[in-house]
Amino acid sequence: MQSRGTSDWLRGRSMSWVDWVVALSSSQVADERQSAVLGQVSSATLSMMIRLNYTAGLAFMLIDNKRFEPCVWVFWAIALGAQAFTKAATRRQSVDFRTRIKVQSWGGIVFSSIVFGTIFVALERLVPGSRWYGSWRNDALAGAVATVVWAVLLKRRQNQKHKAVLLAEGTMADAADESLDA
Amino acid sequence: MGRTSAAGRRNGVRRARILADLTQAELAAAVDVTRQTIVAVEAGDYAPSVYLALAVCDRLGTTVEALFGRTARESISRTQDKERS
Repeated sequence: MQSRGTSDWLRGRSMSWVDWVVALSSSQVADERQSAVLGQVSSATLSMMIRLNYTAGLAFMLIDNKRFEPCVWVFWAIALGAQAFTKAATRRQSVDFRTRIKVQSWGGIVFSSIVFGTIFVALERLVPGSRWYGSWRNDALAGAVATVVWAVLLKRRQNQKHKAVLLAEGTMADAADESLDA
Repeated sequence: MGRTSAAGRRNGVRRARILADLTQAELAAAVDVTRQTIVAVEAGDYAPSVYLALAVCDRLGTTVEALFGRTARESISRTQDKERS
């Protein structure tokens, strides 16, 4: 990552603030394997921390939203910011993580949000000591979070199906190649 | 399965290194990587980049195809099968 930014600079290309942040935050590694392993582990750690941020925020909102709401906004801002930065930094390296599969229609997303929001509010009212009654802003926020979670889950499921089809096609192609070799 | 994994594929690096009378540490120093990377390459746990593979082959006096190609893997499999039987 660091070498890419430096080489861009050497070739006269403009370095954005994203490149500078990546260059400053990159760890110095001894060789390509360490770099590859560190990249994989860092990616998994980032993903885990983002999920924990969302989950912890949701849990705190359920426990006592009036008390913890400011902290939860910070949690979610950090998680969303980290995701946005990751996408910006990877896109600078010509890697685009946007899915090519349209997972769900807008109608489906809205419907899922309403269902989740309804269940969420109903559950919230059952929690003893809760003071979160009829806050439309919080309900809308919960629906928005639900939309993201729901879309990610569906996208993952469809990607896995797509991958399984590709793998099956690849295995058949390999078998055909081997028969030609024989 | 990431790029760091060679999916347990066998290769001829270990054999070629022993034939060249080099230790893992010496080979690692020659190609400017850590010894652990050489261990991982020999074990088939890591697929080296094309540049590292070329550097290893250059140092061992052989070709990439001879070390990592299909014929190299088949040759090693046959040797291991003979040793088992």
